[in-house]
Amino acid sequence: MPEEGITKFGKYAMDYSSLVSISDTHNWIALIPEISLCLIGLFLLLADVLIPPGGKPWLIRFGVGLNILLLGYLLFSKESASAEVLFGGMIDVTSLSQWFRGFFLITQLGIFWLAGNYFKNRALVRTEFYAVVNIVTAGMMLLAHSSSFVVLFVALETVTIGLYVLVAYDRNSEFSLESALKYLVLGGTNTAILLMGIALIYGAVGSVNDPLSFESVRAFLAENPDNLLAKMGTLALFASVAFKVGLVPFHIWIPDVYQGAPTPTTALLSIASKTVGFVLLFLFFGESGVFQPLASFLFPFVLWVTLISLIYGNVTALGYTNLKRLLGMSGVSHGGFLMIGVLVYMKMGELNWISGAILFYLMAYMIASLVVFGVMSILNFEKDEDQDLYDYNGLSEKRPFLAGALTIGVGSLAGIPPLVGFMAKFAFLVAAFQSKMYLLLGVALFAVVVSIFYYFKWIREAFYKDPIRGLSLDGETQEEPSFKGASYSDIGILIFLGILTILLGVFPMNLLSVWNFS
Amino acid sequence: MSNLLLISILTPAVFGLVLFLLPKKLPVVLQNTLASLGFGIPALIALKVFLDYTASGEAGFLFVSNIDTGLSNFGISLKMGVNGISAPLFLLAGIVGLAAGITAMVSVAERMKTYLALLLVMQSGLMGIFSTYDIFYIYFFHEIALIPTFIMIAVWGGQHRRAAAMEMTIYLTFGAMLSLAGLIGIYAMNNLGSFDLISLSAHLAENGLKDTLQRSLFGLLVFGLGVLVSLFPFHSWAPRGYSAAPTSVAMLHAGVLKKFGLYALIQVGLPLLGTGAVSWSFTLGILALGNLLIIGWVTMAQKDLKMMISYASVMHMGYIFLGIASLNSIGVSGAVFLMFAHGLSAALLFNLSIYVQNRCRSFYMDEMGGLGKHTPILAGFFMAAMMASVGLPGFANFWGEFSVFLSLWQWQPVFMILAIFGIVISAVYGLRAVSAIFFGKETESLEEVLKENPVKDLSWAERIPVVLLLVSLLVFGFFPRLASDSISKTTQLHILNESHTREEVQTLEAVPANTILEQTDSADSNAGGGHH
Repeated sequence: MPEEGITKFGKYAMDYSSLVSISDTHNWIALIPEISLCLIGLFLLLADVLIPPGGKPWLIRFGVGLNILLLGYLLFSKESASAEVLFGGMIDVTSLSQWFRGFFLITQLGIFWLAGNYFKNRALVRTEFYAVVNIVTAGMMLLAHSSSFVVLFVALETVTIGLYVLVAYDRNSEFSLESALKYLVLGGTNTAILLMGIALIYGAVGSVNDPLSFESVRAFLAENPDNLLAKMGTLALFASVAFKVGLVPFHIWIPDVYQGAPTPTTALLSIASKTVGFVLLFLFFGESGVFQPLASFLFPFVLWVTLISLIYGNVTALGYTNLKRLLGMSGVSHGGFLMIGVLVYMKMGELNWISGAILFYLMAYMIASLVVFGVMSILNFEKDEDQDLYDYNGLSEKRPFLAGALTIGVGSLAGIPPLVGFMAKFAFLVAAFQSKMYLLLGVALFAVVVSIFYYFKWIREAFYKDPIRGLSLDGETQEEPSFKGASYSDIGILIFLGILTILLGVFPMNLLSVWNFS
Repeated sequence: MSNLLLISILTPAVFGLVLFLLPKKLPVVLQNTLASLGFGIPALIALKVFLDYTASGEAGFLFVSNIDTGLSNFGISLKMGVNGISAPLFLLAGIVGLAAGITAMVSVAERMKTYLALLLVMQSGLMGIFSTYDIFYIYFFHEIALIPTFIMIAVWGGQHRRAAAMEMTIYLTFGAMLSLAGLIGIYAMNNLGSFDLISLSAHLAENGLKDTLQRSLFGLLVFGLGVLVSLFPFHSWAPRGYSAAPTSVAMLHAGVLKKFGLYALIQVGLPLLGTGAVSWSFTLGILALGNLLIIGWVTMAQKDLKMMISYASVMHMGYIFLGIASLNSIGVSGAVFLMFAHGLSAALLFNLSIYVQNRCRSFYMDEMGGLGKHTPILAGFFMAAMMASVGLPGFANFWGEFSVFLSLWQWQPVFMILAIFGIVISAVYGLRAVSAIFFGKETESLEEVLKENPVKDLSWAERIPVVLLLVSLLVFGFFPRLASDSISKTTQLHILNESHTREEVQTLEAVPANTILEQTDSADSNAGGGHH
């Protein structure tokens, strides 16, 4: 920085000409998807006030239509990575971040499908849900593009605060409110840890131009890998990521919040919030990741967190019969499984397909979760927080199609060939073998065996009809369990997702390797 | 030709899917037609493939084709083809599948449509296991066949089905995971980067894996696959699982799916991990004797008919494991032949046992006595099946057991003497069961049952699967050469080539390797040809 440019704010401030040159890089076109999502959200909120009650379902449909248009725009614009410096280096458009854009947008549409079913027979305001989800999605997309801790923090907080609202969405339910309070307290603590980590790193990096950009932090760490402050900051950031992914011991919020939150929100937490964690991990440990220089320091922490998550998540899930809690803990173990990929990535960068494998796993998990949550939301039990394994008893007799769809979804989560979940797990097993992490491999195999037990229990209940059920103790017949049926559009979506699950399981189409951008 | 293999996998899967998606109130005729096509077409293909293979006189893989499934990065693609070992087992899958399918259609069960659909999916996996030579896909198809098994047992099974299904699920998944680790290990521990069995064995023949590595990988396979095949201390899932399973599932699992473990051990373990096999063979032999003698003893004590047959099926795995452990050409060929024969006879026994149980309305043999008077045909079939299972000459099992004994004589004569006691044990429980069920005076409980429900002999529909299985047993009992020639050719050339196996070890003990090879050759031609 030229000497004469220093103002009275001292050497950290910028001169006028560099401010101008930064504002020249404000290319808003690069952020069209995020901006449009926010606009759709705001539009929904505004129009909701003006439109008569009869028009509200149409308003929601219109909003979803806009989202689909946006997805189409993303798919066909084929905008790939740009080498251009954006927003003074705060935003970085890469092919990876483009991938995450698509991922989050598709997840969002899936959540809207779940919400449509969830809101049937429930006296709740609807439009706001769609508005908030739009803004949360915009936050997640922005996060994938961040290239500075400032943007990272802002985007992450947009997501988190939106999620607080969505968890508390069923304001008539004690459970929803209770879980929102728990999420708020723990999430707030997590934000504090995140902020503390950023502050420590800021303190360590100190007096360079823009000390919060990923580039300068990485450069600093490459030169001073032994800086204690930076190491502590990195650990704090990893803890915060582990909270998002739900890794043990940062998983403590998961069962309660998953149980109390409305089902579509639970799905959003389990798919998108987990993915947000992996977006951060890509930013931190990817090929040009911020903390790449500290990978060997962090490796043991990550390894132990992964091992414990795989074991604890699965063993705890064994004991649950509440499905949302069960899915929460199984999600912890899926997070652990995904971390195998991250560990391999940290250990041997030359295994170039591993980032593709992580993305493939995320996609497999998204599809399978949408199927499972889809069936849950179609059945739409009256007590949303109290969906029990045994409530599914006899499903196949009444609703064979839903039972079949559930089997495919749960089977894919469990990793059974020929479903896509198996291919995703298989790639990680091969990777663990090739990087010679045998302990991890053994624990992962153990985890698969345990997980098959509880997943299979669910399938068994769906297909098995307890002969005692339907009879009360004094021999009178009770009401037979009744299950809501799927509408034609539900059937269409489930068939589409089911075919995708099988097709990608049999023909992964080299996606595993095509996606090795990072 | 190569498309035929693929068609045999796809047909059952497609018909199963169609059955599943068709509406609930489907006319029974249409349902049975679809299912019969789904089971019949693969069976015919299997017969044609088997006959063509044996006629060709080849030893390696034939009818080869390669389908890219988008996993070429991992060195995986769907490589179809059969060799002398998989051809008879492919035929076995076809025959037993058809028999089990007909049995299922004859039986009366709720939600038959879904059941048949699942059974067809299982059949598709079974045809797949024996028609591919890509290690990944061998495992893949095994899992496809295994999962419907669990569901069918949990939903349509008999007594204690929920507990039995869960026990089986955990046990078998555990075994499958261990063997998956072993299979991935073979892939990851060499620099070829391929799951293709042919190129792997060519590659490893030149630059084999380190001995310690071979030992640990073969150990993983022995225990992982051992769990799947109910090797002695890991067998406890099998009797409970089979006795709870619906008959057609028990037929398919005990008859065909269980053979996956043995097949993988022979087809993958022996050629790729020769040194590992040598170091584990003694342990394997001891455990196999446990199957024969300890489980044999347990079998004699059973009172429940289905439990007894289940235990008997576990016990007979001992012979096959002994044949593999002997690591010579006769033993391994005998093991393959016995796998084929046992698959038929085990399926036959499970099939007949449900007919017996339905007629007596009882599980227990001491409540059945004197049934033979009312059902002479059933009695005849049951006796024949029992004799086949014991290993009477004239049935296919005899040749398998005979070759295994021959090979044991060369390897560990003590093992052979102990193993022969197995024959005595199976004769004891077999004959005792036949006499308890069919001969003697009618028991009180049977008389009561007869008062209310007069017993009829086997109907024509019930006879079809029984005759199908029994005729196959007899054909291969009188003409074992149909299969044994190509089996032993393949085991000699491709499984036990001289770079590994026991010959190596015996050379160290100053025994000229050539003599042993000559011995095996001459003894083998005796076993194959001395019966016409």
